[in-house]
Amino acid sequence: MNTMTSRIWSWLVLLVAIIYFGLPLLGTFEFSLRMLRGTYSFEAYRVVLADPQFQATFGYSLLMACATIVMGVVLVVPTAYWVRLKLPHWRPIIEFITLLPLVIPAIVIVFGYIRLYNTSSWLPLTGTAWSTDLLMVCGYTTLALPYLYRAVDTGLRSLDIATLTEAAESLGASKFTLIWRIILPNVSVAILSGAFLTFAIVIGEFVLAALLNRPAFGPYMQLMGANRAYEPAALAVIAFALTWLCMGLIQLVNRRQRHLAVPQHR
Amino acid sequence: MAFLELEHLHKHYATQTVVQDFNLNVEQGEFISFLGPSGCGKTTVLRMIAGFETPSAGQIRIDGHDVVRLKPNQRNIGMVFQSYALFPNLTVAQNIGFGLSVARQPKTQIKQTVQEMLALIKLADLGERYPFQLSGGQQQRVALARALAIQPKVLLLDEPLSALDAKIRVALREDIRAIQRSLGITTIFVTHDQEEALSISDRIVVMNQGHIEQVDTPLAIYNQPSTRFVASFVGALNILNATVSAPEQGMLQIENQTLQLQQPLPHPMGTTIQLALRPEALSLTPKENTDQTLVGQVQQVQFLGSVLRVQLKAGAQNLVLDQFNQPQLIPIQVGQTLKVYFASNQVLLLGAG
Amino acid sequence: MPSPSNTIQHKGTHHAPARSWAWLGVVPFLLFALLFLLLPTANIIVGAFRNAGGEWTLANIYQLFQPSILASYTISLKISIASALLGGVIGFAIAVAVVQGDLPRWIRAPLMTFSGVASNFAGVPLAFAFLATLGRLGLVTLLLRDWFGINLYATGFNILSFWGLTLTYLFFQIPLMILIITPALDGLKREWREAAAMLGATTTQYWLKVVFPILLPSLLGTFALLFANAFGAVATAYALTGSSLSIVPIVLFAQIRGDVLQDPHLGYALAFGMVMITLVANSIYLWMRARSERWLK
Repeated sequence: MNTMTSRIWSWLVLLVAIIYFGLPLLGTFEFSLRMLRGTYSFEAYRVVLADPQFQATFGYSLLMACATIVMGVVLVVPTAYWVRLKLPHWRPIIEFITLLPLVIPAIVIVFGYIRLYNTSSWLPLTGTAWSTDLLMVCGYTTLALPYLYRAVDTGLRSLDIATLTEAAESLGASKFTLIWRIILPNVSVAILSGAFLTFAIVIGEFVLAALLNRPAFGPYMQLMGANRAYEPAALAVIAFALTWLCMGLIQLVNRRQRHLAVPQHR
Repeated sequence: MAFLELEHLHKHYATQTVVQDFNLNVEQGEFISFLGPSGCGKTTVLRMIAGFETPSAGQIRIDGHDVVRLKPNQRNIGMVFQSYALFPNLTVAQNIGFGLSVARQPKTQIKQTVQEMLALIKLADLGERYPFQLSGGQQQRVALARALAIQPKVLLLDEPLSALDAKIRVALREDIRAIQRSLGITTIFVTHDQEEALSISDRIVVMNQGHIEQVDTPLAIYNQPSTRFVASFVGALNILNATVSAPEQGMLQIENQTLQLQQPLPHPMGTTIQLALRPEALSLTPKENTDQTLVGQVQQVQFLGSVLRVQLKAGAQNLVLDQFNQPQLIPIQVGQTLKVYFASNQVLLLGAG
Repeated sequence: MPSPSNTIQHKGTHHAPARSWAWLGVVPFLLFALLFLLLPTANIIVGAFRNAGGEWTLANIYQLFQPSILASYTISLKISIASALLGGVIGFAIAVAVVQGDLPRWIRAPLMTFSGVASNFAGVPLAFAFLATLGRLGLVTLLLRDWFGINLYATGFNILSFWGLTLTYLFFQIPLMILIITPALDGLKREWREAAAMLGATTTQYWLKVVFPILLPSLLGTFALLFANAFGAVATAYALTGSSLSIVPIVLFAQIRGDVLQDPHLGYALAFGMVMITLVANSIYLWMRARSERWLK
């Protein structure tokens, strides 16, 4: 009798969850189809996709996301590797730093950027468009740090870094060859997972882009939301699909990894 | 009437039968081992006694009461798990007192029982420690004390030593046996390690593929295995193919060497049968003049400390011999031809192969 | 190249080990963290304790206690606590239902994937989704009106309110809870349940005496994380309510854009207050996580 009631409860909980999570998605989708009176159509999507502003801001955010991923990988992989190999006692400090962006709200960090790198400061990064872009990529890299570092560090932990390094060095490989040909391929799944997550975070990011005044996708969406009725719903559906795509790709690479991996002893 | 009675126990899942027609009577205070390879059903039987699995058919009676319909928490059985399963959030003392505290016994009573139990497992000073601060052996002692604190009718031990180091394993199994004797508690011990089973049990149940192969004392299991499975699973064994040459006289041929057993053979002349010989039954020197012999060529000599293991080849058949290590032993060379002696009553007949 | 230990053994004397240059390898990372994480934050914190003339002062912090700003902190705290608490409880219930095996196994994988998606689906689009669903012309609002004759907005509900925002935040809070607590639930060994049963404990006793104490650090810690997550969120609230709901991050956002507080240093103090609150919440999270890891080692 106990298992029966608990089973009913479980299904009830799941049902409520499905309604709660399903309705907004359904509602958004339904709303996005209402642009033409009296009939459902994809008019809102057509309008959005044809909007040059959409194309420009989405392209810009796409570029930012890619730049962030490259910078994040260049920064995180060698550091995580080096800390595991040579500076294990530094690990808590480094790990703590990478977790700080979870503690300090993004809005505070970007506030600091504006104060510290304004046009009259010692490093006037906000002075020109391209240097602001650079600052924004650095900001995004900072935001992605907790996820990226953890993903890579977990990937490295499953490898025996020290032995792999010694083996490669005994075969005459240089440090660069080692990282490029041995370490990177072995943590590629971790990097890819981190990269897709970074992408999902950056593509619709609002606060940094809005406060640094850059023409990114997030502020564009916000602007549409303030001025239009149906286009925002279409944008939300597109953004949700993108997030879903990123998570799907993470699942996909993780599954591939499992196929490649040597069966583990249980 | 036995204390614990298992009658015609069956357990099958959708497609496979895990336990079939399991019958066993255990006397009060007896120490029984379930021995068998993994997947033989020994753990399933144990879990049916505990109440975590429901038998597909059959009966389980403890002290005359049918328990099949009782939930695990109503059976008053103690169980020790391979992985210790101590509650990590509770101290050693709280772990041991857990069963008494859920039964709402008075605090003073619990405290006293916990003290007794801690003394019993020789960890009197560690009551305030947490499980993660203990070694594996200590944790398993605590798990034992926790199971015993509720004064269970039956104690079930599910491979309790498998996760421990060899030395601790031997020490702990002796302690388990001593505690079990002093409390006189009916105990079932599941293991895949024959040495463990042989060393501490009153009786051993050898299981294979869901059924019982043999139930007997350790001595009988080792010396008079009743099936080929028991003979080969328990202890090391030389298995030899032999041809019956004169059944009434007990005459056999192995690779053109003749043996004479002291019993007539129930097989017609010319049949090939299998014999088994324990490595320690073979000797390099004769003990009786009725001893039988085999001649073979030395393939390998392994020094195992107290024992010297010699691998021989008699024709196409392999023969392993264990010899106690003695300083005056003549060195044995690989390639050398040796004569091996054994008493004819040491030969186990495994029947026609 | 001989390793240092070999060298020492060889000479048999107590030489100081050769100065290691290994730390150079983390310099780029540290430099980056300094420039784009630590210095900007430090700048804000220092600014909170200085006046326009550059002198040290606590005046900015005192200013935080004026009614309008206190009200902002209060509404922020309320939304964060409510969404963390509800998200925590509901997420826990779903995770238990799936992990403890009362629901079919195949539900688990899609649920985890969905949680990964939904926990990252915050920000502007999430606000749009809830406006399209529960706004004045949203699907649910219309359905309730047309099918059941209920006028949602006549009941006092408004998506641009405390409950509206909380309901919206739950969309990423619940999945985040599921993602974090599921591994903790997986860590509960089957043997613990069986051992408790063998010792005569009922299911309720097992949950009260074993499961909750074991999970308590994880539960409290995750609550702190959910809290911080909601407290720092700007985009969702801004896109949903504009500046009609003056939670702290939105006030700060407006301040950075246009100095609505008419005092830049009050802006620093506001940010400093945010950092302090999320710092406390996250410290609880890390401390609790360390505690639960110690047990489950």
